[in-house]
Amino acid sequence: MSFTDPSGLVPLRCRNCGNDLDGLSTDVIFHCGSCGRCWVFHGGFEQVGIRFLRSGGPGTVFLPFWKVDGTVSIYQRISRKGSSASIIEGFREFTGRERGLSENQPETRRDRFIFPAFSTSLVLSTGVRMHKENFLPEKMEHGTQAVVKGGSIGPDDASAIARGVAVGVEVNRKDFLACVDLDVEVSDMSIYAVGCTPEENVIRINGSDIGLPYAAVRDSGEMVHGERGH
Amino acid sequence: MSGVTVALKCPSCAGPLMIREGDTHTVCPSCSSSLLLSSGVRKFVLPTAVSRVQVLRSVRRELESRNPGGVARARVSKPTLYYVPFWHCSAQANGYVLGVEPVYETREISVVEDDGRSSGGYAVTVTKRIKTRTGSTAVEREIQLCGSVNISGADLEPLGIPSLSADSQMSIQGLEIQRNVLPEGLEVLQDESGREGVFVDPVVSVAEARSQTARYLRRLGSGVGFGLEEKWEFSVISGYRDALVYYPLWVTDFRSGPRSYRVVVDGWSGRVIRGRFPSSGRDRRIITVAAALLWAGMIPFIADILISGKLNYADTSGGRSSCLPVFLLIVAALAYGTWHLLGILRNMAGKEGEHVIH
Repeated sequence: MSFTDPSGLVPLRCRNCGNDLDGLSTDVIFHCGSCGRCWVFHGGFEQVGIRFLRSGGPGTVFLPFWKVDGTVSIYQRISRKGSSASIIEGFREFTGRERGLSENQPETRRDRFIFPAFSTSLVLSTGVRMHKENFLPEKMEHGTQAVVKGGSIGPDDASAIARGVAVGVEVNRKDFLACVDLDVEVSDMSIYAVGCTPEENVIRINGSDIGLPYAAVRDSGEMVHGERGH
Repeated sequence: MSGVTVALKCPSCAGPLMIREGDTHTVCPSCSSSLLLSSGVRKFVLPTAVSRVQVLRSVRRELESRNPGGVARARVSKPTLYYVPFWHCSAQANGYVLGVEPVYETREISVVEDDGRSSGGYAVTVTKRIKTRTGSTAVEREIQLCGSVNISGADLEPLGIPSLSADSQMSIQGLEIQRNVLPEGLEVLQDESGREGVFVDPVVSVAEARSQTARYLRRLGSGVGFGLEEKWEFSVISGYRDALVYYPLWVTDFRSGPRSYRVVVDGWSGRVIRGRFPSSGRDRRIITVAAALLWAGMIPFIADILISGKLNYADTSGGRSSCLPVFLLIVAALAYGTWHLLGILRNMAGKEGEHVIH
């Protein structure tokens, strides 16, 4: 197990049961189909919790999502009016008074962010949309052999993306955001294997209207159909 | 670099493995072992496609084209092969750009340009389009992009090669590697000692390379906010993938007369990409002869003007005057200019007269 050749190739096996782990070529998150453990390669192998959600019906594929719990501290949040218009006809100088900026009170709250652990250009917007929905883990039937592939986002990136999603949540509030200064203190990270259904143009999250276009997911062909280079 | 495929051996059965650059995981087609590439930094090398003899030929050919007479005198030393490092970093940028977009109203108004006094009693009325800013709209835009960039891992300025960085605007002329372009034919570097050439250690750390990549992607991402005012940007750079790419450069010195010269030859194409060559002095001789011919043509005219008295004229008071001093001043200025030009050319015969390839 500890054998490493000069090129840095190591056998990829479950640290718990020794079963060969499967994944895509750029994966860093590996789910053992035998014992159900989930491993993240982050310099070395670290175990990470995994829960299954929205298993749905036939044709469901499980895609990995990061579930990040943390404390969001908003130090400064300034919003602005949706638009400003002049009542004076003709040329006039804009002084800045019509910017309509207002500062909100600083706040701290506990929050949960769920976003793709696979490579997609829509990682923030998907995370923001998932933030609005309630994702509750389900109990998997004993002996279910679920395959979870495509997890290529490591824990460091996940922390940074969680902050991005937190900003996205602020951006997507009803008012118009001018700027925000916030931080996310991560308290727990784990993997949610979310059941998704491949449709004609999108991968749809079961029980949701959230769909990820195939073109926006880097390894969509391999993740959904096992094809390479989709 | 997604198209680059590298060959490795399976540690279990020694069977051949083909791994695309950026891949971290593969399955051995021979023994079906699941394998993970655990090394932090992947190294690639573009092997040199030219031999030492071809390098010497390239240098001699270049020398011959620059200074045909100097080839026989030049003593070219043994070329040394250097593999210079470049970081190839890929990442993804996601974020938001917030700001306000100005709203304009365009109106057409009629303007009387001429009241008729200066154009024969006709008044000219033109229609002008006036764009007036009437307000602004709050805008929220999302950044979604991924990209890769090559960054010099070592300072190549002493060889006359500019560094590639996130802020580079210029390409490196003559090299197959550019800011966003990698050469074809890269191989995985497993053992440096088994290859000919000196592998230059990178002085730019992977953290610095990543920081430059982030700066580059943030700059690209800020383009999403084009046209916005009071902009505020936020972006997350994730999914870094780094590789160290070694590029082959041959460096050789040669002596011609009392001076020594250094030449850099691209190890892939075999072209001379940087260097100094002694000047043959041909251009200098052409300019000198041209100046001499010009003066040779001018002297009879000057003599004729001076002897024939064409410079004398009758002034308004009825007396005679001469513009000889002005004429002599002009001739003296021309002579001084020619002498100064010849002085510059004489200086060019030394160090400054070299042909420089850059």
